[in-house]
Amino acid sequence: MWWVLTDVYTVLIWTISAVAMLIVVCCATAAGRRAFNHRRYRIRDQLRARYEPIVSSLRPGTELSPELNQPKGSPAWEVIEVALLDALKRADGVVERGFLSGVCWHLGYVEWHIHRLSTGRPRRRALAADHLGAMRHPAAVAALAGALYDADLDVRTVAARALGMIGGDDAWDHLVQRLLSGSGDEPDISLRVLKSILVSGGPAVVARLVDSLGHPRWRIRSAVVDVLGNIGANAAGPQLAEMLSDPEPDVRAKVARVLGQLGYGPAVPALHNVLDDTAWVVRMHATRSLGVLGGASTSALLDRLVDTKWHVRAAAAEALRRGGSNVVWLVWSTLSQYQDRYVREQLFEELQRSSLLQAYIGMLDSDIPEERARSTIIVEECLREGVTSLIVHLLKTHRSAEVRGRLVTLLTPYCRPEIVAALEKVAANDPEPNVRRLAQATLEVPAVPLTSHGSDGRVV
Amino acid sequence: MWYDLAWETIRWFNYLVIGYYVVANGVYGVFVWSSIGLTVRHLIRIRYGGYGAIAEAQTTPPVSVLVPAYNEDVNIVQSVQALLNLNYPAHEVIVINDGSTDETLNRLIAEFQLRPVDLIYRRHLPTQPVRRFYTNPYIPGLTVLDKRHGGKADALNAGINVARAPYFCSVDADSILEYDALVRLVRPIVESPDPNAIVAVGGIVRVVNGSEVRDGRVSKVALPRDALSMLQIVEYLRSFLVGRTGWGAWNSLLIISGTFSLFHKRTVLEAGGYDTGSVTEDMELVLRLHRVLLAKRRPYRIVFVQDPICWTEAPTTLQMLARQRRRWHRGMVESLFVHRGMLFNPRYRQIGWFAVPYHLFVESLGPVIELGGYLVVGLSYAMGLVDVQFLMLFFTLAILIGVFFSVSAIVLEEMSYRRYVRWRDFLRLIAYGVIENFGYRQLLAWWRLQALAQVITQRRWEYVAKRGFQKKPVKPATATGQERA
Repeated sequence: MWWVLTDVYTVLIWTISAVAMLIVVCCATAAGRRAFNHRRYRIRDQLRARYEPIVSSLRPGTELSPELNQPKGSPAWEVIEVALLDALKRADGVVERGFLSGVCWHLGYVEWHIHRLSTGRPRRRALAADHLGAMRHPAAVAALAGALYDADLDVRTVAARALGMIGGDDAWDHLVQRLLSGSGDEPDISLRVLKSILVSGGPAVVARLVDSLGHPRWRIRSAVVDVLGNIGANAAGPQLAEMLSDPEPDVRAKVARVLGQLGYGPAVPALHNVLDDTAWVVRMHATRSLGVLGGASTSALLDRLVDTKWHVRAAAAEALRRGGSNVVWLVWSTLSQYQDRYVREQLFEELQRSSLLQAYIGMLDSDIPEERARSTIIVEECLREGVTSLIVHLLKTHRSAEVRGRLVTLLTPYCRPEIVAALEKVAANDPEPNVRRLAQATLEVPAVPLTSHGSDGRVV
Repeated sequence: MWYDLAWETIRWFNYLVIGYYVVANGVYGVFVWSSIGLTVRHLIRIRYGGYGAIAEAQTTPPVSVLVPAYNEDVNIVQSVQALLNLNYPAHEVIVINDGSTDETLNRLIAEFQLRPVDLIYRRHLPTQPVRRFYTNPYIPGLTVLDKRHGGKADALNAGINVARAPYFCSVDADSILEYDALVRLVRPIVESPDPNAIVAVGGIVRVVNGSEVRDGRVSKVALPRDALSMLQIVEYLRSFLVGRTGWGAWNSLLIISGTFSLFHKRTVLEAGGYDTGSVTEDMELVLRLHRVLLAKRRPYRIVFVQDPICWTEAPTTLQMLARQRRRWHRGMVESLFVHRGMLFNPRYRQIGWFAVPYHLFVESLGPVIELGGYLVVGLSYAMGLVDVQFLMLFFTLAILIGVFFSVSAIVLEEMSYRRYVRWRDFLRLIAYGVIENFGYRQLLAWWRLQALAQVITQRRWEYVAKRGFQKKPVKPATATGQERA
């Protein structure tokens, strides 16, 4: 054999032949597969046209057509399965879904996939788990529970998802058990996946999860808290409030966040206690939650406005903003007292993104004097902060001439180029003569410079 | 004596050419083999993908979609509309108008009724100054940022500074994402037991030329009539379905297309964001991520996923294609040069031992060897080093191997995603898989050689004009404008 390699021409010819052969085989395989697929699709289309109407006509209480009994693994059997899964997806209500699930069981699909779940290659097992989930038959729970501990990550993940789809006490028990039995430092199914599945369990899983709040692994405790928050498990409020003293900061922070998310009012005193927690994340979430829950001591929130971490200060500002116009008023006075850049920026961003500033500007022509006065002060604060873009835009476009006129007056002392340009435009083009006159008069008044909004030297 | 020296040089260059062919084709051969297995596995995984669950779950991570836009008024509105309507539970779209001189910003303002606002801009990454932000309270997922021109990398850095989600996805303004592309792209992160370990995910980029685009979506996939686009389609298929899949399998991806890629924001900030001095900022960032994370010995993965599709327009003239390829190659060489410290450095494991050397010696210097090979083989024949029979056999083999790789990518496409359904399309793809080896590949090598010369002479970045999905006239190209494809 070695004599072949001594002759370079022979080697080249052989290699060329091999590569040419490979090309031909590739092309032939692709063409053959394409032809085969065309034929297969044609047959499937025919079968679909035949069986789909039968499947879609299935209703609870109707007899099963004998036509649906096909040899296992045949094209007709597969087409019927696809049609059943489609019908299950579309099924409206528990009764119809339960009926179709029963049909899957009766025709042997559930049993078939349970068998495949315990044999074959990992991808096939995962596919079987996926189908079992879609069929939602309780008989598959035990098999899927076993698959939660499969050697392959895909199979475990899909089995978890399938159990979530089937639901029921048994399924939730297995899933919670799986969540708690994660080995090592990292869980061996994505916590994110498990969490999203358990959230879909709703109240059915709350009791089981509450029992596991004391799990020795902090990642698990943290995940459990997350799930409870996403479910909206108000019943877990007392236990969660107790967990604000958890040794792990991440858990405390999550608990603080979730209590706000749940709107659990009785947690307010406990949240007050962690406002000076050593971990800033805990302080931040506690502050935010207090803002959501209301009833927080305004002075405690104002204290957070001078926190060493800007995230906490921003959260405090946001919490105070949620307190309504009276608190907003207090915030303005606090801001003018502390002049905290981060807090101010956060507050102003919220005002603009949420269209509150636009609403305040709209109140400049309000009949209620108090509203008018506060709006004026807020607009003035914005102008002093350098938050001018939206105000200038509304100066040109607001439909109320009175609001435009008030804005012209408020903009009078400021000399930013865009303000001057806007005033010039208004002086020339505003449909209301009074507003035009006001703008012309304003342009003659000497102006003062403004600071720039944005923390790190943003150039406008 | 001179004759002997030339004879000896040519003899060694011949060995170099043969060595180059063996290494390059050997690695690609392994990639073809591994990508077949990976594609089949991925195809089965898609069937139980649980994409619906990801799209509905409250725990799916939020993503900021960053869209750098420079003179994109032809496509921008359509693109943003399509991005806002993506099937994803929590995403925001941040359009960065990078100092456009056309109607890009005005079209956005008019279409989405945007209002100027002053948002917080923390310069975690240094960028050109930001002029203004625009939002609409009734479209909370959209923020437009208008900044002074600084190039694509600068625009992306500005977008990262504004992004509020833990992951960001960079998308070119002239590209179209499929409806569930983001859900598919994020799946490796959602399903990873250690979610922080996946720092970047790349999707597949396909050529939209010839396909029908309606309301920001590809409504009918078809092949273009012009040969140049066809050749690029074959090339893209080979590059993504075989090349990227292969590199991804070894966690050695050095290139994730900036056209469509997802990154973990905190890790990118740790690495210093996009390099504004690089002409291929996407590759440079991926290289830097490898470098930083391997140096810190942090477990991580950079993943390529085959099914999230981003459609992009390919250049339709030779001139534009030449510019694009010169820029890509120049960027690659420069990025590799910047990170030359990783070369054969045991600290950087597979990247230092395998990916960087391959890209440097095979990809970057490939054109020198390929084109030099033609010259030297001719000289060898003239000097009697090889005979005509050897010459013919060697060329035939080189061409056939090229054909094999192209055909294998087309076959892979045929066996997997089958976007081109007509028989005629399939036959045309095969035909172009053969044709591209006669002239097109040599042309590419020539442009890459020019790029190498540019690296040495330090010429500026070239502009690539595109037509837009609406088939408007081609924008005039400026000779010296610094812009991306």
